Parts: sequence; structure tokens; C-alpha cells
Amino acid sequence: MSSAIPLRYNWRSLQVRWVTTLLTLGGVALVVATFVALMALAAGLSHAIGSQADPRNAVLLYRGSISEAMSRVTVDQYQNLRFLPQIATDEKGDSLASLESFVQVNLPRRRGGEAMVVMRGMRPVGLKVHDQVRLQQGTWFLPQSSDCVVGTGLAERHPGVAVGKSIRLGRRDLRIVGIFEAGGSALESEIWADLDDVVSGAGRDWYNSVSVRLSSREEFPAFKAAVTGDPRIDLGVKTELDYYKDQAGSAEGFRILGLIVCFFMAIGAGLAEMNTMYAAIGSRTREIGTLRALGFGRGAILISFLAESVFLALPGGLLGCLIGSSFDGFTTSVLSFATVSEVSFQFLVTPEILLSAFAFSLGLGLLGGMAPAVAAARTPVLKALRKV
Amino acid sequence: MNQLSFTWKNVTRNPRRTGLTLLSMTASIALLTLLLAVEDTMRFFSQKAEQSLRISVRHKTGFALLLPIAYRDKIAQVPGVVAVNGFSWYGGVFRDPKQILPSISCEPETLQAVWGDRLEATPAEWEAFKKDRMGALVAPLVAARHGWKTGDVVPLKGNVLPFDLTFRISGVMTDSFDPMIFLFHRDYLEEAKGNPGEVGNYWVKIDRRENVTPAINQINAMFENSTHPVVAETEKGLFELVTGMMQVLRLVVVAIGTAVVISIMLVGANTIAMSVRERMSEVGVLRAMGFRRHHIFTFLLGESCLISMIGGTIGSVLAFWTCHWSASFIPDPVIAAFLSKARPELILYSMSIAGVVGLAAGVVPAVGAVRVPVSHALRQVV
Repeated sequence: MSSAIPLRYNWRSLQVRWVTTLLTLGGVALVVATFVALMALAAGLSHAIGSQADPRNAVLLYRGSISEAMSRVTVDQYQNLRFLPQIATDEKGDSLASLESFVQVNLPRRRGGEAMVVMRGMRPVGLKVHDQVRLQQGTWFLPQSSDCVVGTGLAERHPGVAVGKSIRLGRRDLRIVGIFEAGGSALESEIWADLDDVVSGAGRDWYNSVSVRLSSREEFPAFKAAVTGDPRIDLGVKTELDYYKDQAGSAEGFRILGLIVCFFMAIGAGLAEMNTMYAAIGSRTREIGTLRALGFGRGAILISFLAESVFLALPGGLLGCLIGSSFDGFTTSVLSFATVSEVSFQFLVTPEILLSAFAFSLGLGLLGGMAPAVAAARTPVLKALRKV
Repeated sequence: MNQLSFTWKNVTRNPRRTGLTLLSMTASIALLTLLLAVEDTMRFFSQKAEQSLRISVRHKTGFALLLPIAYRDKIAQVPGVVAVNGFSWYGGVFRDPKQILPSISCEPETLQAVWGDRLEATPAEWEAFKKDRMGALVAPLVAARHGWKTGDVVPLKGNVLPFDLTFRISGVMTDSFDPMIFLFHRDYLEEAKGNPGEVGNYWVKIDRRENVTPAINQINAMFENSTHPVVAETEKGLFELVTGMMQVLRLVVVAIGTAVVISIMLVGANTIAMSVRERMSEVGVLRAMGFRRHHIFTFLLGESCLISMIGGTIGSVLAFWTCHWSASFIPDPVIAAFLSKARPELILYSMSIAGVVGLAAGVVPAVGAVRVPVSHALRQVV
């Protein structure tokens, strides 16, 4: 009795009303493309901010600070914590605790204007704590040499940044001796130099943070207890993972913005889909009556029209994924409010994003088509047949 | 029956379709208005900055480095300079350590001379602020978000600087250049720091437009070979330094805005195309009765325009209201500041976009409808 209506019926119906079909499909494609692009932006940004975190590292900052830019640490505090037993040591037995300075300097931009970028000062031990960083060109800086190294992101964006050139910090000129890469993370937007050079160049007598490598990630609770239990230290401590998670606020902001935008656009597209399906059904009431008279059940009608609605949305979803994917790898930069500096990143289209975009278009088709399909299925046969 | 009522009859004869289209338009226009609000606020600030006769003097290396207070008197001697005011950042947090308050110390005696055009407070509030060492002049939004009123004592915890400060609100401004700003006395901050004699940046008021560029050049040259070289620039230049780094935001706003406009166009065109399809024989009847092509054309365009204007009005008013309502509780102070600056002109702007888009959306289906020969249209079976 209730065999399925061939899908070809729906397919050909869509072809007959091709103008409406294309307009609806275009609407879905736009929403899905916007969704993919915005999610790729957020994913790229959070990759840039979060991916350098090492699970064994911890960051120590002033009280409730959320960023190194807004933190102050003294040498005394550093001396009191650097020999805590949870901190790993290198082959020579030196503790892997890096006292760091964090200064924003302005660099001229290729297309005019200036950007604020981070200059991080550290002693040689810093390179052992941040060991995910690789030298791409030149050499590392030496202590008190007035040398510095820069991330690849900076070298690409700023014309005055290349090996052999120099960067001004207060009264000092720091010569660029190397370029490093850090797996596409925000560290690639930084300048690294010797701690004493940075602190004296900036005319400061204080530091911003301490980064430590623990002997294992399980040591963190004990380390935290030791730090917070010592009034001479009096610093806040977080794992590097948590530290960057808190900083990725701007990425989270873009993700939320993306969801809000797509929510509104989905309402627009979903209602348009519904409209199209109501019109399709309205003009085919007699056909529905005929189908029912031929023996197709209400269920078959429902499924048939739902399928038609999904047919209408899915190609739009695919097209949207395609358009959205073209943003993959697009490099841009954003002002990070946490560190008051510019972070460059690339749009990152992940399989998860494409999958959810596809599911999103499927959802649009089903939700937009549900009410009209139910209405079609409930049409009384006689009334439908009598309709002119 | 005049044209408008005829159009209205047509719009309302399929209430479900019109309703769905309206809702769809409302959602899209609301989104567009929110995006325009961001763009408009950026432009508004930029325009204000362009008109100003203020220049900023900061350390050449960047904001992280401070300038000596001794520069103030040197800058004051530059021809054309009316007043000089040294600003220094304190920051601090009120209760939530994640919400950094943009508190800045200034020199109250010359604040009005330098920033008076962009800070609106009553003469009594200005007086109270000048007299009270602990006084603070706060922007309306920051006061609203924390529930502060004149006379309240506000303790802030230092986040960059290693000490806490307590303030007394001298007044809540009715308008300010930064809707979140918290201004207080430079002496109070200096004392807490141990009088290092530092300034974050100087704001310099110039008497006439033609003196601005010479003053900038002279200040830049004056400190060129000193221990702390500076960058003197117009207010607009400084503004562009900050917004230049938000280019991605602008890009996103423009891209989404375009996508939204196109999608409104698609929805509108679709609706009109569907109703034209169903009314083809009617179009034939109208033509047979003597209505000319341009009549039919106007009917259909009017229909499309009317729907999008109604959707546009509801959507933009709703979005405008949401901007101001949400600014008081959104945790991100930057976004909140942006939202609070949404101007009522935006509603008109969005509505006109909606109207234009509505017209454009109707053109293709309407042209299609009037080109069908009368005999064909009459013969058409639905």
C-alpha cells in the first residue's frame, strides 16, 4: 500500500520551478558559506593562541592577571620560586624557570601605519622552557648581545623585519640575527631578545612573568600548592594550557559572533525554504490528491516532500562549504586585547567545521520542509482532487 | 481603490507567505543593523577625531614605554599650543578580575582645556573633580555597568601596577570620547608610584588648524635625539593605529553585511517570483482590463518594496533597541562600548537599504511578469 514515491518526482519538480529553486539554494549557500568562514576564522585564531601550550609548562603572573601584558613580577619572587622541587632541570642541573619581560613595540606595517607587537625578553633558559620553537634562519640571540630573533609571522608582515636589520627599543637598537617558527602559533608574531637588553631598553626595573617547565604535568597541583603556600612568592599560577585558554577570549568572541550571525541568517534562509515548499505544495495540491488516489499513503507524501526540501537545501550546503573552504589559509591579523598586540593567524577550515556546516544545511532542509510536508500529507484526497 | 490599498490587498492575500517573508526579512535586517552599528561607530569616532585640534605625543617605541613629565613644559612652549595634559594608565579591576577598567590619570586643571569638547559634565561636577584628590570623572556606560553614582567610594585593585587605589566618584559624565573611561588625578597615581615623574602620553590642544602640522613636526624634531624620542600625531592618526589592528573585524563586518544583503535580495525575489507564478492569469486579466505594463510593474515592485520596508522597520528598531539594552550587561567592555554608541540614524539607514533591496529584488520577477503576452497569461493554468 504505502510504497515510496520515486525521488525522481521531487527532482523533476525542482527542475520545473528552477528560478525559485536556485534562489532558495543560493540563500542556503550564503548562510553555510558564512558559517564556514566565521568558524574557520575562530578556529584559526584559537589555533594561533592555544597551540603553543605545552602541558608540562606553567605560567606565573601577578595576582589575578590574565595576561603577561598586565602582570608584574620581581626578582625576589623569582628567586624564591625557581628552586621548587617540582620544576624540571636541564642536563647541567639548572632549574627550567624563565623570568620574562613583555613589552609592546610599534613596528611599521607594509601598507602604512604601525602595529603593536610583543617583544619578549628571556635568559637562555627560556629557549629550553619554550622548546617548541624552531630556528628557521640565522642564529639565536646571546645574553646581553643586543641581538634579537623574530617570528616568521612578523617577518612576512613588516618590511623592516629581516635578518641584519634592527628594531628600536627605547634607547637601544636590537639587531635581528634569526627568524623562528612555532607551528603557526601566536609566538610567531613575537620578537625575542635577551632579558637584560629588553628590561634596560624599556627603562624598567621589573619583569612580567615566569614560565616554568615542570618535571611532569602531574606535578602541577603540588607546584601550585607550593607557590600559593609561600607568602614570599605571592603570584598566581596557571598551566600554560589554561593560560592560553583564558587568552583565547577573542577567538571565543568571534565564534559567538559567528553563531549569532548564523542563527539570524538561518532564520532568514529557513523561512525562505519554508516559503518555497509551501508554494511548491500549494501549486501541486491536485498532484498530491492524484498520488493519494493512486495509493500512496500519507507517510509516503510526507517523506517525499521532506526529501524535496532536503534536495533543495543540500546542494546549497555543498556550495556553501565550497565557497567557505576557499578562505582556508587566508592570513590576517587581529588585535589581541589581552596582550594589547597584534596576532597574525590563518583561517582554518577543519573537517569538523565542514561536517557541521553540512549538518546545518541538512537541518535547514528538514526544519524548513517539515511544516509544509505535514500540511501536504494531511490534505484530504477529495478536496485536493477537486482543487483547480 | 488606490494603488497603495491594492498593493496592500495583494500583500495580505497569502498571509502565511507574507508572514514568513516578513520574519525572514526582519531577522536579516536586524543582523544588518547590528553590523552597521559596528561600522558606524568606527566611522563616527574617526570623524570626530578628524575634526579635533588635538595631537597625541607618545614614546616612539610604543605605549609600553613612558615619557618624562619634564616634556610637558617643553611641549607647552611650541607655537600654537593651548594646553598640555599628561595621561597615564592605571587600569585596575573593580570586582571581576577579567574586566579591566580603562582607568587613566590626567591633570584635572587642564583637562577641560584639552578634552572639554568630548567630555560632558556639569560645572559642579568639574569643580568637584578638580577639588577632590581622590575624585574620579566616569563615563556613563562604566557607571551604569557597575551601578556607580556621584559620591560613591570605589576601590580598584591594581593589575599592572602593584598597588590598589580608592576613588570617590565626582561625577558621571553624560557623554565622553570613550564610553568606558574612568579619569582621575595624576598626582594621586604619582604618589602611589613613588613619584617617578612619568607620563603615558601627552594630549596637546592646538589653537588653529594651520598650526597642527607645524606643531607635530616641531615636537617630533625637538625630542629626536633625546633619551626618549617621541611620536607626535593627530588624534586621527592615533585612532587609526588602533583600528588598523582591527582590520579583520571590519573585513568580517563587510563580508557578512554583503552576504546578508544578497540573502535578503534572494528571499524577496523568491517571494515575488512565487506570487507572480500563481497570479499569472490575474496579470492577464488586469492587462485585458486596460492596465498597462508599467502599472503591473509598479504593483509588483510596490509589493516587494512594502514587504521589505515593513521587515526592515521592525528589524532595525529591534536591533537598535537590542544594542542599547545589551550594552549594560555584555561582559566584554569593548563590545559593550561599541553597542552603546549605536545611533538612531541607523534605523533610517537600514530601512533605506531594505527599501532599495526590496525594489531590486522585485525587478527581475516583475519584468518577467509584464513580458508575458496577455493571451498567454490568460491561458495560464495554475
